[in-house]
Amino acid sequence: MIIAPRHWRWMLAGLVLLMMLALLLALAVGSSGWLWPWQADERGLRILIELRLPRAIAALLVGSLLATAGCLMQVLLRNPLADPYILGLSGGASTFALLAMMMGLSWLPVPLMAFLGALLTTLIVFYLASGRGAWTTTRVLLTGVVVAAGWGALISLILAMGDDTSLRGMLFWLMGDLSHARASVWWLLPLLFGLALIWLRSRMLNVLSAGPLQAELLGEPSQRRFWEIYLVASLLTGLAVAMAGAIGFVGLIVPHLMRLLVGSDHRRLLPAAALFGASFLLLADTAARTVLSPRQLPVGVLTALIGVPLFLLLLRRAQGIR
Amino acid sequence: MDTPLLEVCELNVSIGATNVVENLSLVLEPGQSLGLLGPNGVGKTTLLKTLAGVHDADHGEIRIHGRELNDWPRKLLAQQLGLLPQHTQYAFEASCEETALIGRHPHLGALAHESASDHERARQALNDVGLKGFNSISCIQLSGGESRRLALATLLVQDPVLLLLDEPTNHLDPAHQIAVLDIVFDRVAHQRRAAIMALHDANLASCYCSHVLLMFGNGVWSLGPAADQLTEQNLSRLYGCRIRRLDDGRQQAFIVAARAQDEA
Repeated sequence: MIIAPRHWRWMLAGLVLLMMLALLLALAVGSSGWLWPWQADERGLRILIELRLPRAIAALLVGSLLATAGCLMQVLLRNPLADPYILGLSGGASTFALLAMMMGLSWLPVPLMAFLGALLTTLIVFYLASGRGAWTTTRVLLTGVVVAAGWGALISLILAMGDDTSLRGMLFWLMGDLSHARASVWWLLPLLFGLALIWLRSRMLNVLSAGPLQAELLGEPSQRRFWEIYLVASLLTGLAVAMAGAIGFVGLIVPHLMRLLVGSDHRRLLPAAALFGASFLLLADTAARTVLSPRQLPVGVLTALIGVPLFLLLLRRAQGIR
Repeated sequence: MDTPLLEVCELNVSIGATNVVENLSLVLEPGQSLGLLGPNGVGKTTLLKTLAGVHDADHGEIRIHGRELNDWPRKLLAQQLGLLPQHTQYAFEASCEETALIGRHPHLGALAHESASDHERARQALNDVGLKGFNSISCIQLSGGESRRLALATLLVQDPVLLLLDEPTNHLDPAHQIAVLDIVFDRVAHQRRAAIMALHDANLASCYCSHVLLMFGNGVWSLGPAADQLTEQNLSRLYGCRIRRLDDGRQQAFIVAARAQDEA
């Protein structure tokens, strides 16, 4: 198979176009019927700007955060099947968020608790896995997976103890849900800045993908770099989880698809994944709030329903090639 | 030359309970190539990693151009020395050209992109190692021998002054073994490079190495010009089996003695 197509610039342009169309669609459809921005009256404009746009931007943000974090985690663990949650971040965030919901602490916003949970998990895994001696993928992976299992047990405990009224909210949160996520356009600026910084150093990610020994031999202090990547990926994931709960499969399937489309050079992969992750989640969320309208589905259910068969298909195809 | 390319002083290296070398001193100049020979597990890889600065020595000094190894910024050091690891595993799909291209990393600024001439170097290196036409083939699909040559191409693109090669002929057929060592020899002889290579074939060592370090185990070693070191007696002691030297007047070869001759 010939990979890394020459026309990747067109691919990126196509992905930008896709994102625009997804945004237009997300703004146009909703419970109050089709509403094109250029036809809207004053009331319509208010719906667009105050209701649909903030949610759409939150979807774009979370999608690109998760896809980028997925790319970074895959470099970190040198495994194309790693996702942002593999080291227990979603578990920590969920546990804290559910605790806040259970105790009904109104002064303690759920997103903040979720972010603290993700941060705490990051520190726990960092502390346990870095103890002494060198970074090894196996050690970090094992530590992360075991910490995730611990959070899983706590989540079950909280769900078992929670009362029926808060249970539904908790389940939505666990599946990943954008119905309460709002973001203004200004949130995009720090995100774009962060993504640009990572993108600028992405030649280094190519070198680190070749493994710690090769990276060291090519002049990168790989130990330090791996911890840096781990912290950045955790921060991105923590932000995404705080905004929308644990939305699955975006961080796994988007980088994987984009590797097929533009190759593994991170200077192409990162922008492609950020763009497609944003579009993918926005489209999924648009579907989540319209297919059973006026009922809203948690978007995480849809991303998994799309993600699982798509992933299995890709896996089968990949086996056929080799 | 005022300071030698590589200078090793009273070096002690160990890994776990294995004593690799004790009190090793050597000097290597451009144009020289040193072969490391020894039985499995004697520490050839560890010694190469120590010289590359990715394994710590217990005692002693290693200097590149007169500067202590640990005082070199990692990136500048990567312009001076490079190592072909014994195993290379590719985790992600990437084209052979992209894979070879990462060898330019230490020569580029943190934010720079590879130039057209960097790409040209990568293509040239793929040509050199016999991977012509593999530019856009995925590195994951290569056979063992092709993968080995791709790793060598990455090292050639890195183009260090001191080439450290850990069993460069692994997985290669005889023709490619010669071809690969010819490339290294050419760099050493004509481009003022130096090489240190772990080999398992005394015949290749006698053809391609100016000097040889025999590693007998437990820190014992013997160093000298290849012609002096590669003797029936030394090699038999080294590998713990009887090795004979044949000479037909044009070429000499070391072979493992057949059982019957062993008893005779």
